[in-house]
Amino acid sequence: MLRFVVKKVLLALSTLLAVSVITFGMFFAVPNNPAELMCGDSKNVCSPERIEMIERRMGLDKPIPVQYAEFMRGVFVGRTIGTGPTARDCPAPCLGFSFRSDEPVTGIVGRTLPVTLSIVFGAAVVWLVLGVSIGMVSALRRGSAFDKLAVGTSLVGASMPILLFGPLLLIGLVYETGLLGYPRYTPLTENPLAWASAMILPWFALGFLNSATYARLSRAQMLETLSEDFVRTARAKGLSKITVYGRHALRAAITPIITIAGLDLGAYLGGTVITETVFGFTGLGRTALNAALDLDMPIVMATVLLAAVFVVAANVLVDMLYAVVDPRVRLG
Amino acid sequence: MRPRLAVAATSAALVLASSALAACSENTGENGDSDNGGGKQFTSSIATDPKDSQGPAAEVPGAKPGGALKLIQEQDFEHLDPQRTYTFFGMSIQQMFVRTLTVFKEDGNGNVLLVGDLATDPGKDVNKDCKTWEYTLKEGVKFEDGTPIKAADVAYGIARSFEETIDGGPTYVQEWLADNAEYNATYKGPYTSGSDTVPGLTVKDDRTLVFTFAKPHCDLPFALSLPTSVPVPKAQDTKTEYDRRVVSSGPYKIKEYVKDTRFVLERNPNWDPKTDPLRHAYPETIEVEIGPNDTAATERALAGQGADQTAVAWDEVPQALVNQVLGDSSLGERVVRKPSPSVWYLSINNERIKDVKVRQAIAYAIDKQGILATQGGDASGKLTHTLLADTTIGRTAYPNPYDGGPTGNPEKAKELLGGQKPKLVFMSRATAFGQQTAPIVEQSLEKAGFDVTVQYVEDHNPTARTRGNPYDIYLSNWAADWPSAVSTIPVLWDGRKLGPQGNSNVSYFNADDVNAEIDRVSNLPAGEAGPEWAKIDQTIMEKYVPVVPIYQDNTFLVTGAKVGGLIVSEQFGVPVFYNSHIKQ
Repeated sequence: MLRFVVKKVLLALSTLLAVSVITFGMFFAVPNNPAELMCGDSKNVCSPERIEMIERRMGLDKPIPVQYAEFMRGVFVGRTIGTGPTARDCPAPCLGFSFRSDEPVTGIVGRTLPVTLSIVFGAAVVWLVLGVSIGMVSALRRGSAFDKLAVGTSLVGASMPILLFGPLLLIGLVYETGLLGYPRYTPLTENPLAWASAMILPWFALGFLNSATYARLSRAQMLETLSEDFVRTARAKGLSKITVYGRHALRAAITPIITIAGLDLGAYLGGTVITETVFGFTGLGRTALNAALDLDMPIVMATVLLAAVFVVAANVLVDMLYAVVDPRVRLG
Repeated sequence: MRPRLAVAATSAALVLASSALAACSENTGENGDSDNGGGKQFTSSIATDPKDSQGPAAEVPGAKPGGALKLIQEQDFEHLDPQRTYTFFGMSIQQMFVRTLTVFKEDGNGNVLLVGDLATDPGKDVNKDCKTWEYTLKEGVKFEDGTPIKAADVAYGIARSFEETIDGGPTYVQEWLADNAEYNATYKGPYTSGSDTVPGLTVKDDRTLVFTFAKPHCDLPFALSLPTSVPVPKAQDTKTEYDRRVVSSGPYKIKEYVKDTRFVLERNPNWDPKTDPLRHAYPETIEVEIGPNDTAATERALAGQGADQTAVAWDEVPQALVNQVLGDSSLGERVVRKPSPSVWYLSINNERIKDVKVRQAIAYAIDKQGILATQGGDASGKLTHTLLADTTIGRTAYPNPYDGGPTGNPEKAKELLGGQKPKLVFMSRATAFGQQTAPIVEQSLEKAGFDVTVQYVEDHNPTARTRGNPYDIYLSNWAADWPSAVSTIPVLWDGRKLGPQGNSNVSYFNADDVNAEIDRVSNLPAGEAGPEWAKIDQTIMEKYVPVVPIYQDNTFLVTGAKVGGLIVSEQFGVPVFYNSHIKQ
């Protein structure tokens, strides 16, 4: 087990290292000079001296490998950005300062990540509970009216983008009827009730649409498992339906669902840009998109790295969960 | 969000116009741009009577105190630190919690008057040579904690704008004081230099501030309406952190600021309306809700459910909702449409396209209406052919010298080209705007016989501002910092200012006769300069066609049913809120 964990963690770290190098390299590969961008958009005089000044202040005057090494060092031990009287301390985990707003990126991530976490974890509960339940019941009642309805609904859900479903919910429940207020994010720690009420629409929108895929997947997996020999054996031994379906069949059927759920969760935690935009939240995804459009490298770097951390961590977690859920899997 | 204001380094000029007239009318899009005379009058002036600078501001008919005004916008302000603020939206909201030495007083009907805000008047030109200016602060002006605002606080605000770390704001005053575009080459600000004393800026006593320049700067009263002149109490200057907590000197103070989520203002009990010629504080609170996009904000203001009745969709009406808004006559005054000072040009790189006939052909060929249609059509702007926006003092309309009609005249262009097929490299923005407009530009020019290559470029603006860039044409825009041609003509068309980078004159136009005229008009006495600038506009376009003016932006937004007193500023081209109130 320990060997497995160490191997996975090392693999994860090397993946993250590669992502960081590629992101950093790509930013400098595109033909732009961040200092010129900061200077040229608002200043009538963007002299070479002024560009130099900005480069010095942002630490862009050093060779790219040095900048990369300093960036990575800053993440773990902090660093001082710039030199001379304009040097600024950036404590660990230092992700630099935004080129646009001059704000510490750690602060921006700290502010926007909880928004994305709130959306994704709530929606994940919805799509897993709803999707897996519908899928299981459909499989057990194959061919029934419920099964047909569930399959049809999930087909609609799986084919509808949130870009359409979100605004439809807003028109129906907010603009036209006033049944719900327009979502306004309040931190969970500040007011749990306000937090939950702001999240109802995004949870439902993202959760419902994703549950369709899970319902279809769960149904197919369950049907396949139900035809397996061990299920027939369990039935033949006279075990109750609940034990056979709930304990034996479900555990076997759920393994691929965990894989997909883990990957989905990891990917969504990296940013739910469309959901955030539709419902007016400034989460990690929207921040990343705006930063990419603004060529705000420190934010792009931070959000890409964070997204990679989530995806990699989710993968490791999923691999470990296999052993817990499916007794056929052994780690080694 | 609107683009950042572009900074204009101006040469000396006299713009103490008592009044100036410009004409504009609604664009019908039927026969070229209709801006050839007639229509609404826009008047602008600088106050000569100190009474104009005194408070309180005249009551807005029907306005009552109370209620919560809500402004909805998608993105947070880049900066709120006054010395770092240089966006229309930022300056607009700042007017409600900080004050400047001078301010534009507008009535929403085109009458604009520059008056003293913290100062008793727009400024005293001590020796009548625009080199020494004296400002006296009003009595009774206070910060939010009740501390009197002193001349030293205004001077300190200006001093900190010299700091490298306090960047992003306007730099007119700094450059004029330093007499150097590299304004912080010598004095580097209070943190770095260890001194609060800016060379050329003298604090005579608690209420008197004197600016001394090496060269004449007659536009100083205008430049001081920008937030560089906001007072900052030294003891509460938190350097770059000041962006998050600004000390109020206006009718409201900051109650709460959660970045990217909300910015809430509440009334400042230490603001005395008797000292303020401009502002009211009718709403109890003003809240900026940050996050919803333009579609959501407009839908909410239109639906007006609950608290959204007092909302302003600040980001303007998105293209998808234009017809719905225009088609709903019941909205009445809730629909706000007004020209902004921002003009879009097709800039022609004059150092590459030297043949004036080719430039004339481009002017004839271009499909202006098609370009505007991609941005929302007539609701979003009006076609134009003048260099100056119609919000500019003294601007007069003249017949379009190369009128190809709203969609262009390829035949006339072909005739001018005389069988040639010139190659043009068009640099377009790698953004939605660029992708929408580039095909229109390309197709209309190709119809006229040009061979156009479109290149989408990420860092469009810095590239356009670099002399010797390899592109022939590109779309650019300009919004003057104050409604005087001084912040447009000498900045965009004086070829002697061209440098290797950071040029505002992105058409790289340089003509000796125009430069001489700029010098002449810059030294004209008060009241005469406005129409003379307009003549230069006409000369440049008739003789040289260095750019093709396309359209002037419109401000177009909707408000909730209970919002009253909203004014669209002639200076900013966006709503300002000093007359806003909640209808009871």
